[in-house]
Amino acid sequence: MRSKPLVSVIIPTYNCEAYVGQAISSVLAQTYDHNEIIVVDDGSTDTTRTVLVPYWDRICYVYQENRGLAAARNTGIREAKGDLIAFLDADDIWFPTKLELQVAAFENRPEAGLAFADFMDFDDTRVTRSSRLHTWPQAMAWFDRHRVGEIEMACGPMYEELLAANWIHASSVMVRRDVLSNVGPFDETLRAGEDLELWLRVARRYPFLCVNSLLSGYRYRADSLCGPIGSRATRVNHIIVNVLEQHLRGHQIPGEHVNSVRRVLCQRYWSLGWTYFGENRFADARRFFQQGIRYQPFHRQHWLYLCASFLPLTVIESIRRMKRWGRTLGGRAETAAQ
Amino acid sequence: MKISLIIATRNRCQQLGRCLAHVERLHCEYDWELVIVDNGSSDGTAEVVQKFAEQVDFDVKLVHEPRPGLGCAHNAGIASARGELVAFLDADDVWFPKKLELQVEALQAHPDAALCFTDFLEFDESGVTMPSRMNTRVNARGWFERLQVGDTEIACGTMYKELLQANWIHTSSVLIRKATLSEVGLFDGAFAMGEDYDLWLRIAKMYPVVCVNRVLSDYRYQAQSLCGPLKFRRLVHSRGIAQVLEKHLRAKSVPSALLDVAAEKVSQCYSVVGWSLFRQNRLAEARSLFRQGLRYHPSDLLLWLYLCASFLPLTIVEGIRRLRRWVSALQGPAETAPH
Repeated sequence: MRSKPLVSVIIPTYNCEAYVGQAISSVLAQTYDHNEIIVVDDGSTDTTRTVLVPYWDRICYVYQENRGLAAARNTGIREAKGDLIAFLDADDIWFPTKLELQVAAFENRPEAGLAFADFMDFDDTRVTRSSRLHTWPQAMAWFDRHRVGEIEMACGPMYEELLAANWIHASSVMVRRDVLSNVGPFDETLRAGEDLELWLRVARRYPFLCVNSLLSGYRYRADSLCGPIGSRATRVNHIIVNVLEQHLRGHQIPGEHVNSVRRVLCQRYWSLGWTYFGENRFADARRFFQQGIRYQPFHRQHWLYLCASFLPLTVIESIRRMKRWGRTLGGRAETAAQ
Repeated sequence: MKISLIIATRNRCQQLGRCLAHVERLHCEYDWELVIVDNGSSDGTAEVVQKFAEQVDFDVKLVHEPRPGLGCAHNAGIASARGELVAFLDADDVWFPKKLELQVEALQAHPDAALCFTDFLEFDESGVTMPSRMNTRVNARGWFERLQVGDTEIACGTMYKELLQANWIHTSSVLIRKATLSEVGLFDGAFAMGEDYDLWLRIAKMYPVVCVNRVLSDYRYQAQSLCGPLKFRRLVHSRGIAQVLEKHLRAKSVPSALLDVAAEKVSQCYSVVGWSLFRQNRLAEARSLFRQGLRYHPSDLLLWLYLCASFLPLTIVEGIRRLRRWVSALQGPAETAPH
């Protein structure tokens, strides 16, 4: 019988003294104990060092100048000795069976490159959403398509699904170290979305494993970097567009996926253009509509809004007023009908 | 390979308690002992140490050294240390995990090196003020890159010249072979400041040193400590460096090829301290420092200028200052105008 594989747990942290102890405790509470904990302190200026002293005998601690999340995770990957690598952000937590279930899943499906799992959202007071995977119908459809036997596990290719939406929580990921040395580490030039970029590179060559149990928690922080939902969606769109353009230019996308990549790009450009159009930034919006048309030349809405973006602001404003007026009329008609 | 960790302390049993709690958590695969030097404490230091010694499974020794000063205290610790390797830790500082392992490995890989030091970070009450000493100083970085072993985080080689120009070895970061200390001698108890720099210079003159370029300890500056706030800290350090280098120059232990380097550094230190006294209108004191600086580096024109200025009456000095402020105020708005 083969021996149990060593799992390297990588915890990047930046000025997170309030939560990093909870994260480490949730690793120490794991039922699978053949693990090493690597805490990469990305230049914290708070008292993170002293908060960690009680764990000194259990962790490997690396302090580096602030270089961003991707660089911190890469430092952890370089330090890692295990064949399997699991990521845990300093403000997130794991549930006790996280490592056990995912290691078992990898033993069951050794050809898989990356394993993820269901996760929940929580903040300082309560659980805000208890199962995130089930909120994406596409995720559940993928799961049912690739289900393995009777157990709550699925294994299969996920590249196209990832293009449409990223439902992989970085703190739920376990990845084989040889996979990372094949596809390369996180892209340190990206300041956000570096996780999705890596998942896409892995997904091009390896099937994904999903354990359909709640194994990690994603903490929403009042002081979080993410900001309001709207601007986050725009930022995510920017990231996805950049990543896909880069992959497309580098001919890194397998032939069977090129068309779906072009379709996704067109959609993302559409929502970007539409957002900027709504903010009256017509020149920016026009650029995105043009890009969208490049990928899908017969997309009607892109053409329509591209033309509209050349109109003077007063005309656009009056069209908007007319649309609003039409909507209120429609609303009144509905209430009258009731 | 036995390691002796020496902690010198004086009337700081609270910090010592915190420090010991962290030492207890340090996991080390080597045989090691802890030597705590009580440098004339009158608080409960001895009880704290005794209680700690009963809890842990490694040797804890308590040594008393009545003569004040970190140098004397460390020497007393070294005298009763039984390890082949000696390390020091200040009660305010924290060692990161794996520090000893990485350093012992480095010394084993480079048996000719006498001392191993690591990178460290600096912090005070406001938080981390410098995340890395090795990689933020140009000459430190240059030394490391020149002598780096492959693409590892280790460099090994002679560092005497660089050390004459600046000290970037933090006492809480070093691991020294005890045999070396019996050869070059211990800390010089005559120094109130810079006794560590003096020892590093003596070691680096005879042996190569090895560096692990990873932040493995931190260094706390305290407002009420010897060093004080940033501005005074630099002055105290400059004075300490100048005194140490003067000792080495007097003892003729600096090779003739490096005499200029050392002399220039001394004069630079004196001019830094002198200039700050000058700004506080302590012209006579400043003058004597400028003079001392010029003794070591007579061709420094700027120092001559300062020296002349220090002979002027205070009213004229104030007048020149007002004039300069007025000129820079004139230039200021012109610069900010385009915004």
